[in-house]
Amino acid sequence: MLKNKILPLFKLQIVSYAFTALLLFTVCFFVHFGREAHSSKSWEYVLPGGEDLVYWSYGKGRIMTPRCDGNPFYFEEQGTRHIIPWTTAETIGLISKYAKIPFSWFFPAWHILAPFLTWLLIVLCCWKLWDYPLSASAAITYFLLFSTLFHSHQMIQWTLYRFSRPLDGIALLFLWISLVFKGNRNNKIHFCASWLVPPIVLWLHPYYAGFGLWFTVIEYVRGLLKNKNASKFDLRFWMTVSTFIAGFSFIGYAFSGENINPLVLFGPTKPSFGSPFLNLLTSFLWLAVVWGTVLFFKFSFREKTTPLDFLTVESAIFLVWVCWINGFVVPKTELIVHLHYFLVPMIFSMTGWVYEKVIIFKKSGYFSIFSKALVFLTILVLTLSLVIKENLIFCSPPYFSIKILQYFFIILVSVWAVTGFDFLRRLTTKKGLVYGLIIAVAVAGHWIIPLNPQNRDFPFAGAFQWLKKNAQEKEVVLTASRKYRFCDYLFLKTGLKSYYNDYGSGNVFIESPQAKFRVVFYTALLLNRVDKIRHLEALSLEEKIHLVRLDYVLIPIPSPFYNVVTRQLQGFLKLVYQDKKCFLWKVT
Amino acid sequence: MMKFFRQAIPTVLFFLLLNAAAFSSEDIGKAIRQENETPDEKDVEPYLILGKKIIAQDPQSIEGYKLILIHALFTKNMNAFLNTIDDFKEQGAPEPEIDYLAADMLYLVDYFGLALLKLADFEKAWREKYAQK
Repeated sequence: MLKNKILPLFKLQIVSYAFTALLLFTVCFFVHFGREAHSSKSWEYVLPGGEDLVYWSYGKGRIMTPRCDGNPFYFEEQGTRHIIPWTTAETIGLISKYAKIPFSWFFPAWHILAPFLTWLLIVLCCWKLWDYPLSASAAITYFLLFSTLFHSHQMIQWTLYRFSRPLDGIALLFLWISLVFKGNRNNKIHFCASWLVPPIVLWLHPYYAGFGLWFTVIEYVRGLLKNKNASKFDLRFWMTVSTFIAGFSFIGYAFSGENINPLVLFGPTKPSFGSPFLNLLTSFLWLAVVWGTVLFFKFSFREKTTPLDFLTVESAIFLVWVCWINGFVVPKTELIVHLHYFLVPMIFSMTGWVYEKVIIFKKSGYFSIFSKALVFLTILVLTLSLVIKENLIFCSPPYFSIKILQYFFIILVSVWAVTGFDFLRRLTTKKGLVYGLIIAVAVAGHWIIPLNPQNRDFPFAGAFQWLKKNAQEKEVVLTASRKYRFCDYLFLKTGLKSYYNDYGSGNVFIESPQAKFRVVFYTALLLNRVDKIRHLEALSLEEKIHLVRLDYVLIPIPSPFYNVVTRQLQGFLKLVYQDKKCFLWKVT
Repeated sequence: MMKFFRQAIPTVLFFLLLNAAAFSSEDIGKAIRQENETPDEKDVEPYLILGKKIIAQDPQSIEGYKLILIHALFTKNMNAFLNTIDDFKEQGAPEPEIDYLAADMLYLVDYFGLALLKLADFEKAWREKYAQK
């Protein structure tokens, strides 16, 4: 079997590439999470950040009874779910429940398989739909995906790490866009994919569905206007139909059941995302660069407008549209925060587009003029960086369009160098060198990802073991520390509820009297003011303690809050667990 | 009448501060909450002046910082308030005490979310200063 059926498969280039990629992503997993495990002194506490903890908790909350993926952290908010589902997290929870696979096993599986499958699907799209050579597609996909690890913007740097968005949707969106521009109505696989991909993307990633639909509708209308005899029921028509059908099912889900509106979607924009006017202005700048280039090639070289031209111009218009909506129509939404989700599809299309244009220059007699102009531009940018003492190529401005321009510049120079210098081009054909470079970039990228400071010497591991053995289901634990406010692992590791948690308080119930009291009591406890909570002076301490369910108090050692907590709750605490890193009291 | 009270309350507070150079945080919170309207800048200017004077003599005086923070709270500009704390730190204000003071003042005027953020800053600074020795 192995010799006759499996080994011959490795003679296929794509299979050997895929196997190598799987090995590489496995190594990358151990490079980064091995460091996290070393830092936390346990493989149990290695999550890269607080948001990952939240989404894994949603997955676990989905399989609790009653379901509590709406807010898995609070006892009082059981039986709720989110208005917009976290489909990947919930699906993993359900697979774990019905296949009886331990939930924690999905952590390494996700961090190895998700980037691997993303890589594989993008490579297949580039190879089969866009007709690029397989080896070049594989190498470029590695470099572009790993390039995110080196980005100075934290959200972009976490693209390959964060569970589950945006990684669960990137490759499928890439497939969607590829089908829009390169799909064939008469190809059965393309036709089936056109029905399946939009609903899956919509349910996995509503933001991406908006992006995909944008191209689908524009290209459908453009196709009809361009050729009036063309079939009205082409691939893009059916993709639009399947998106709308999925949209109705999505709306049906959103408006039924006990839903929670997460504030994270509708909350105020953080000031770090810059002024709306400059956001719009910079997006216009990017559009001007793209459109200007397309027009230049159309009129100077008499070149036909290509699918990549349309893709790049349409994504630039999309960017302008989002900046306008976010800044001036529905201001202060979180839409602008999620623009980085679109970076990977944009840099992939941009790379193909830049390569296409540089090749046209190369074939024309103007390559040397282009080279001189580019060298001049590079010197100008570097000089300006020195003068203003800011690295203009690698700095992280708040404006997404500037980040795209930075990527554009780096890709342009790289493509120009490889195309223009023979010795560099020859180097790209040396397999050993390219493999070595890919491995070096992958390992370096995974090595420089910052470790989660909350994992370092994690103090509650022993207490969680005790709670798992002795606590009643769904009891409530107050963690008297602000250090672990985003990543306390309580619910994920024990299934118990939090008294206060920054993520747990980020939903509509924040306005309920119970939720307000929870915040006031928790803050008052840490500030030594429990006896003087305004409007509640008439209540005894015992009544205040039990106004919202509270069963345990957990505190790390050492802690600035140890004295204030023990002094204020004196008489109500019974020590049940203690080790070198924490105290755990039962509230009586 | 309202104008008279708006001017009178800060003036009385100012004299109390001049005498004691310390004022209970509860009363400050109460005074701020009882004010239906934001007082004029000039009414709360004395806090700023006195606070700056105290800090000029003793840069580690938490009372001096408290007075300036009271001024920032009275003007009801949270950005200014938070920026002031950052400026203090750059000028060498005692950490982590300054964060705890800020959290306490924010709690007293019902900015619980910001108070919790400042408590996080406080714990971080506390760990850096004491726990890692």
